[in-house]
Amino acid sequence: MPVIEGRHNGRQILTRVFVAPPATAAGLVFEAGTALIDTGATTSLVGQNIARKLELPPRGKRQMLTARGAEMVMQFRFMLGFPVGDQGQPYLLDADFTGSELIVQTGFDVIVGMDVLSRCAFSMSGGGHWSLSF
Amino acid sequence: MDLEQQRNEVDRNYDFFMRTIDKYLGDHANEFALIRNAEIIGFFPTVRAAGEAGDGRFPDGRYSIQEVTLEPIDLGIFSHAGH
Repeated sequence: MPVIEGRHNGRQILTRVFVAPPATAAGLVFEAGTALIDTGATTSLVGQNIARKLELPPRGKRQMLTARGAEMVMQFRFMLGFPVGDQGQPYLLDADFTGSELIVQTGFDVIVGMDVLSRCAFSMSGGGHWSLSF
Repeated sequence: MDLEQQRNEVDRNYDFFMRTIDKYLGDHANEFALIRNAEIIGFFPTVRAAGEAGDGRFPDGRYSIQEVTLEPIDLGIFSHAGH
């Protein structure tokens, strides 16, 4: 069972992630970015920069609550991975997600929400350690 | 794939889906609807299953997937803080 772990700064849990299109016969391509682990987000989100680089086609639409009110956002189908091992090799979760485009300025490339976190054991300690066990 | 054409497909399917979602909420809540040409092709338990069915049936990639829910996405703190 892969375990992804790191240190948090007491304010945020950040990690490196890999975003990939759904697996195809053409092989695996992915883009790396910085993600915020966010238990308050109902779904994961992908920044427009990564979505554009991977040429993820829009697959649906959904309303998103923002400080400006409800806004309509496009949704993408993608795979998500985390770095494992000494070399930080991508470990891709065996699932597709319908994340939305990240239209809010957050400073992160990806927000990892409850759709991903509900698939793993998530823990953090006051000493600064956090882990995701899949 | 023509992204502009796909965006139009998503728009059209979404309008159809929201006009008819009340019919699906009872039996298909939180499932994923595969839609093409404003017509429901089927309901699937996961987005991967819906996507694989769409890729298999429609080589042009022109289809959309909608989760059967009326819940908007909540971003937690980012849904409520000014920016």
